[in-house]
Amino acid sequence: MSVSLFDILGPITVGPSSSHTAGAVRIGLACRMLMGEEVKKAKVTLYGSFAETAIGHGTDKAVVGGLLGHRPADIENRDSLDIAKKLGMQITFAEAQESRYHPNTVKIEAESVTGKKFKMRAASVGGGSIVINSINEFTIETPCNQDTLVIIHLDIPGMLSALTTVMAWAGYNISNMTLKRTKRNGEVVSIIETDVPVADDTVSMLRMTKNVNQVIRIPRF
Amino acid sequence: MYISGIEALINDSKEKNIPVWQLMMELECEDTGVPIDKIYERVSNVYSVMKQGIKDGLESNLMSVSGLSGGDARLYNNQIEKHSSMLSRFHSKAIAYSLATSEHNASMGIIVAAPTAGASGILPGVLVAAQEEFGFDDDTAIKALLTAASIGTVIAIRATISGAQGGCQAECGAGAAMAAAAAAFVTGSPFEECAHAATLALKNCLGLVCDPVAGLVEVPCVKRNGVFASLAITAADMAKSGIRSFIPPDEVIDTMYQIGVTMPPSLRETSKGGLALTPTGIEVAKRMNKL
Repeated sequence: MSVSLFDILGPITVGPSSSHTAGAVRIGLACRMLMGEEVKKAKVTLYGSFAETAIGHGTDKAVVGGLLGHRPADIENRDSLDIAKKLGMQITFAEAQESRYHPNTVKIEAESVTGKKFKMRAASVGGGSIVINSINEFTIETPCNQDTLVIIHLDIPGMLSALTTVMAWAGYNISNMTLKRTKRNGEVVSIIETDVPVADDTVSMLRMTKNVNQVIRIPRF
Repeated sequence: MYISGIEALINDSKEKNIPVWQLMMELECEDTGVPIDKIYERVSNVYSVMKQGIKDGLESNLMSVSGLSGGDARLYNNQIEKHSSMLSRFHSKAIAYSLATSEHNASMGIIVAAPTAGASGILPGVLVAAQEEFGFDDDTAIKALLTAASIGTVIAIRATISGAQGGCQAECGAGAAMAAAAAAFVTGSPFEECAHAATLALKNCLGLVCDPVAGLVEVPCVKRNGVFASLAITAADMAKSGIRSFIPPDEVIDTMYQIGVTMPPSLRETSKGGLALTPTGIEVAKRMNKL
């Protein structure tokens, strides 16, 4: 196990709980970043301990704060429900139980200002750290603690080689890489983590690669 | 970074002939590529946020979202201002400041989760009170934070700092251990003595359960932060007299973990036992927490 100095002297965040508040902000923020656009509508479903202690921990405000683009240390998280309302963002909450999920799980079904639909499920796993468990129909497992690329492409031979060639050519070291598909010959999500942020031109190259449908960049946050 | 234990930390620091606080920055730099001066700057920012949290916590007097906590830091601070505390000024201020940070946390204020949000009051409470009363510069406080972080890092690696895994001994216990090390550091202790200060604090809360009422970081967490500032100071003061933990630091940390994992889950942050299941606890849980 490896620990960062600022896991111990941090994170700097709004209280009262690193898992139920800071982690919840990060889940909302991850959703906002993955959508790449401002959120217009969102249905937020809280599971397990998140559902049971949401009000007292401000988990509801935290998730919405993240959806607004706030970070865990932004004091605006306190008033995020009012801010969202003023901006005309429509938020609904629901509670559910699912024993297979981590006890601190959130599902977000969102629609962006341009009408793009997106859903994700993530868990807050302690100390403000999160794991994204699904994006749209893909089941994944990514912690968002590195600079991350989420690449959706076709399930055909040679794709990984094509993607890693772009990365190698641009001089990026891949620190972690996973690949998941929904079904054979369907779509695949490849998640590539790097030590340093990937520049715009490399992201464009990846987007132009044949049979790549979508490239989303999530900066380390 | 990976540090195998307190003993290894002492050996590495001797081998490289650098103090532990410097070793911590070098290890972080190796891991992340962030230059040392930037790491120092970030720790300095951590300290500023800690000071601000105390100030805001004392001034704002906000109640928490649930209404279960708030106002106690000010109550205790009034007693200090009236010179009617039984304790020394440093000791009583550390308690007031720990309560202030913890209440600030409960009211969605900005805090440093060092090591966690639930135990975020102890380290800043002790360190900021020490700076005010003993008058050292911020550079010393930053080095004390790095020294405290070395203890917290070893606890996180060898054991856990999560209440869900190890009970309150893992959260407030780790917080008190870090604060004890910081208090020893700023009063001139070598690292080995800081480590024993930390160990004495941790050893004397072994077995402590995490049983928050209604699942919230408030009851008993806020007042426990205050009481544990006192534990940290007592442990540091004993270590400074030359008292050493009979069981070595790494063995005490391992024991904390063993006790944590054998604790029933009902007493590990699930609010299914302990104070959470008292008649009062149940009644509070019933009226709280509906979306």
